Amino acid sequence: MELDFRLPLVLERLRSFRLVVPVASPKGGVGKTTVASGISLLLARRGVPVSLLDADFTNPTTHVMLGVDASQVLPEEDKGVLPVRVEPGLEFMSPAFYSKDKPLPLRGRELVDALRELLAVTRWSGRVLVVDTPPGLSDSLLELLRLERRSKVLVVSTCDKMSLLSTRRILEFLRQEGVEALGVVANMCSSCGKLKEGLGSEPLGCLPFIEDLQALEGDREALARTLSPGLSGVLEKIITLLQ
Amino acid sequence: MHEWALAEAVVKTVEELLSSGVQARYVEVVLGELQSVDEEVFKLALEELLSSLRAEKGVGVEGFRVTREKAVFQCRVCGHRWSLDEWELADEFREAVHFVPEVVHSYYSCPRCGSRDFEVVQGRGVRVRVV
Repeated sequence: MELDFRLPLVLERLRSFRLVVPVASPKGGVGKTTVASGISLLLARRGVPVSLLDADFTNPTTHVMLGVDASQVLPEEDKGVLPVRVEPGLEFMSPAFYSKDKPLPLRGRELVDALRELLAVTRWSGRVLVVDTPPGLSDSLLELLRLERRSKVLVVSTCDKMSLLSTRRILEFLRQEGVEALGVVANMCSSCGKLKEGLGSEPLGCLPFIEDLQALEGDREALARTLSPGLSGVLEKIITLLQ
Repeated sequence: MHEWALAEAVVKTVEELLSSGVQARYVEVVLGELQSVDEEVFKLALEELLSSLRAEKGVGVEGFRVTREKAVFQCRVCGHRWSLDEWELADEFREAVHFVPEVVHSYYSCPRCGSRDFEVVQGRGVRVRVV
């Protein structure tokens, strides 16, 4: 009998988390990386040990938002690999540590293999695993939801018609799969009421359009300060779930 | 010691199979050339972890066998097939590929047409069979 020897260890490592939060959206460019980085930083600064994984294998960028130079970092080996400590309470793993910001064209099976490999060998220590996923119902997201059915997905949406339609689709998909949505973050919306009108429910978080988002890239202090008010509902919900 | 995590994953799989009632006497591990797993370190880790499994959980297998498999690649664009004899891994990339074999796509391309859209046909990493 031939089998994927990594899966039992992957499942054990995922079970060590109290909560797994994939950050997802069916469209690109709506702010998943900003939101994933923001909630990870803010939770860590409120004393919650957070593990953050960039699961966008073909285009990892979370390290840029966090100000981590992937070209200079290789995670330490110790009976596996230890995630990189970004600041107290926040550890981080990214395929960019291995691909060094070069193109990484992967097809479905290869991408799933790379994700399983990283999940099997990474020795996390957080209570919450936040996962920045690629746009759409990607292989990374589907594999993660297959491995951890208790995941609570945080959906990021802008307030235009296309994004709202796409968000309804992903919420319907999650319902059909029996996977819980943590909630929806409305991003870059002039009024978050539009998201409520479009989806029929209150957003869990609401971020305005940030004129100078580029100034936040790599500046964790500015990122935490700017995102804190709009993401407070997300933080409160996660902290409640951890109690 | 990344080999330890790989051996740990193998032993965790054996433990799950045995505890679910599967009859398993031997573990056969195939080490793919691309991942450059240190065979001696891996075997030592596997021996130690299998001993611990026997001592702590009272279950185990009679033994294990480790074999190697050559890496073979095939370009999806032009169909060219090649091995590491034609395309040796440079030392500076070997470590990254050791941890995540798929990042070979970041460092190499088809020796004939230059495309990075190629497949690792065999010899990617660790494979396990129980008999």
